[in-house]
Amino acid sequence: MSNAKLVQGDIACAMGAIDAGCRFFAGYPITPASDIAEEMSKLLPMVGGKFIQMEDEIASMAAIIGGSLAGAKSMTATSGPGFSLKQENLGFAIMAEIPTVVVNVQRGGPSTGLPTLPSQSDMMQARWGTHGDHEIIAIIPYTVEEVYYETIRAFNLAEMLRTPVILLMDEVIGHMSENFKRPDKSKIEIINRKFPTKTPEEYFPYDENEGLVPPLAPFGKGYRYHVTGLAHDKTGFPSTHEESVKRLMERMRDKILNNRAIIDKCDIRKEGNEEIGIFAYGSSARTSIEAIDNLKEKGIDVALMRPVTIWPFPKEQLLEFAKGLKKIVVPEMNFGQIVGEVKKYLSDDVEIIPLNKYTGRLITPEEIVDKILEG
Amino acid sequence: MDTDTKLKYLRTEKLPHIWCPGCGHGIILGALLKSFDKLGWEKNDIVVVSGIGCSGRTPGYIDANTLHTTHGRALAFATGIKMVNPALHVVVVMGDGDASAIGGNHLIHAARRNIDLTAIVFNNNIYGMTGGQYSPTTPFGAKASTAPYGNIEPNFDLVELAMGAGATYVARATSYHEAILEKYIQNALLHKGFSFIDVYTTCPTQFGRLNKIKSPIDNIFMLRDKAIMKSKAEKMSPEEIKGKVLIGEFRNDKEKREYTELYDEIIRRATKKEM
Amino acid sequence: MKLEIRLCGFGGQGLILASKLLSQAAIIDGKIATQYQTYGAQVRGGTVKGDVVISDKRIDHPTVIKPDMLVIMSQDAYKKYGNFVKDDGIIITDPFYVKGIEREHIEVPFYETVKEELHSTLPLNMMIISFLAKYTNTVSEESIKKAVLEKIPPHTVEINTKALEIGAEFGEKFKK
Ligand SMILES: Cc1ncc(C[n+]2csc(CCOP(=O)(O)OP(=O)(O)O)c2C)c(N)n1
Ligand code: SF4
Ligand SMILES: [Mg+2]
Repeated sequence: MSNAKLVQGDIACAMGAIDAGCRFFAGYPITPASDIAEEMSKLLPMVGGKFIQMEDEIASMAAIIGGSLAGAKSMTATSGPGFSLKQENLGFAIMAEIPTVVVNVQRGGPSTGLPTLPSQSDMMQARWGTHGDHEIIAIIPYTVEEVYYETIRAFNLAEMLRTPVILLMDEVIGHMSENFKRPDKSKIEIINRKFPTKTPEEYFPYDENEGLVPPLAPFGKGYRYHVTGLAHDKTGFPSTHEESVKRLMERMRDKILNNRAIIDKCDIRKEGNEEIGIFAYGSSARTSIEAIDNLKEKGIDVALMRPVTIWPFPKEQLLEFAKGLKKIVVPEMNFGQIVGEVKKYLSDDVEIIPLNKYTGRLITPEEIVDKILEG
Repeated sequence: MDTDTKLKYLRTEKLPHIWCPGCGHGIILGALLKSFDKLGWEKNDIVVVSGIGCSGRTPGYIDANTLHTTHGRALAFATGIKMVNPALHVVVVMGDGDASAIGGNHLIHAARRNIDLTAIVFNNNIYGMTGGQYSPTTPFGAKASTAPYGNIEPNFDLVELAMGAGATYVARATSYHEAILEKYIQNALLHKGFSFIDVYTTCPTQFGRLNKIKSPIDNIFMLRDKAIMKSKAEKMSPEEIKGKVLIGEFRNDKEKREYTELYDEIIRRATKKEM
Repeated sequence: MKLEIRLCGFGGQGLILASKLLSQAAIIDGKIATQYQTYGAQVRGGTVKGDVVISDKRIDHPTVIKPDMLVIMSQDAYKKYGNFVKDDGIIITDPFYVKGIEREHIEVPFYETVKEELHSTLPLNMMIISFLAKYTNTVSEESIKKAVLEKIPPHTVEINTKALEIGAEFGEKFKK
């Protein structure tokens, strides 16, 4: 007997959110993410939190920014078309530095595309979907259990770094169920946002002197300040002064890039004797692992690099992984979005082989095995 | 005395404001500041949210918790704030394009939910900030930078819209009739539920310029000449009312349940595990 | 041990719930299981399939490509999924729903049996999972029962328990 349970990916995401301390969810129904909203509508009021179904995804993203500013850890969940609608306000959350978690359970696109079938075709949209130069954190779990833990980590990073964090799943990871044991609360690490230590008179919401991530006072707690999507100085008021714009832009960039030690997460399975590697993420990584097992039986050793944090891109880890490898296969459920990043950082000494599927079907282990055997 | 009460809630260090001479936006800001003072509200408990436009700059001048959001979405941001902390007084200021074009959907749904927000539309019948393009409230036939031959779109009556959508306090004022404006703002602030005020106002720089209403003062007189009290209009013939703007309180419904209160009941039920 | 099972038929037969209960029962037994479903255009009436993988160890590729056991409960589902089964896989059909199968298969009268014995076709899905558990020897009868009892409303306990018993009997009978 085991005390694990059969749990669906979307439900594990909702559980993770609740356990991370999420107390506000705003969303708009869309397959395959609706199960998250449904679960949150049930769970949130049980813990004194609040759920609202907004009129669209633009409003949902706006509402969670408002909720977060009022002091609650906040989340929204959507899929392709809704993720497109969230982009402008996602940029607002980046610019105003409001912690939020945005889940995109990827389905086939463009447009309405394949509502009930998986894809990994929003990888670049997660990176560059909102306009303007920015850094972003995006996480892509590969099992139901990892969905739970990475949802918690998404909240921790969002709160710690005052930034939106994108959790990317896909239709299969969201809709499938598998063994999961919800851990004891005491076993999980929860990180809350920094509250100002300064008095309201001395407090500035974007004060560089407070480090890369200045504390965020919730609205209504005596710290009156201004928040805007316009470029602003440390007070939060609009400023187009070149030096202040530069400082703001660089601080927002550096708070991500200088905190890679806590943001990065990579699953690397390499003995050192392999000549072939696979670079895979999300459900394609599961398929890759099965393919690697099958190849091992044939006497072929293949290494795996599975980024859990996909943005910022794990460049250093990739360089390390590629050492000694002659080729790297990159299976993706898209035309080849991440493979471009892989190529960008590696020299011609390593052959990069894309393996792409964009039909709303998972790549199969056989397809990966064949790709490796043929080349 | 008047100036003093306005100053109390003003971020004086942010002055001078960005608005043009003769712009009505500053008058609405003044009425809002005086209303806060009349009600004696604690600054820390006030949140003012705006969208984008000349009107969107309003919160920056108010000494409260202020949030300048994206174009059209102010009500959605405000909904999140109010949900998470219903004890806060949340006021939303919007332009006419902001509230009824790009943000029209959020307006009708915030009204429908009857969530306790006060929405004030700075309705100058034009897109002020972007250079005088026509908005959903630009009168039929009026000129705009994107309607050089005259506007052929019928205009929205925002009072009708808000009432149709379910707002429980609905009024219209102008930035000429300051005393009335202040009174309605106070009533709206005190109202429990979604309150909505359509404030007919001026934009001499865009609307005035394009429609040959030359001086700022002529723009303000336009408000005076066009507006009539609803109570007076009731005794007038349709021909007499044609082209006029009715001002007054159109609805004040205290019966309909407020959204965050209803949600608190959900929490009570859920924590007792009653489905 | 790794067993891949696909239940396919039409919406309303309770096959997706069945696939979930079977996986949950395997997990109660201490096994690893995954479950995944495909809906047709509409939830009621359209072709549906519920996939189950049961294994002693970690399951990597999350979905079933070709099942070891394919249970077909409608003619449309046969058309859609009938050709996807492992070379040594077993096809089980209900002759009430599916006719004219050329490949080797086993016919189990689920529909007629529950209808006759229980005067209701609602517990059809329960009979199927209990049959499969016994027939494949992968999931214990107790765990199936436990998984089912956790999910069903109290007033249906009797009829569902009956259906489970009948399913197990049939499973034993059809086992060679
Ligand atoms: C998504 C988006 N579209 C367009 C704009 C450009 N824009 C800024 S203000 C504005 C219109 C403002 O008009 P109104 O809401 O009536 O406010 P006013 O300036 O008249 O107070 C527009 C279209 C924008 N900021 N964002
Ligand atoms: S452009 Fe119009 S609305 Fe904007 S500040 Fe000037 S007068 Fe006011
Ligand atoms: Mg305007």
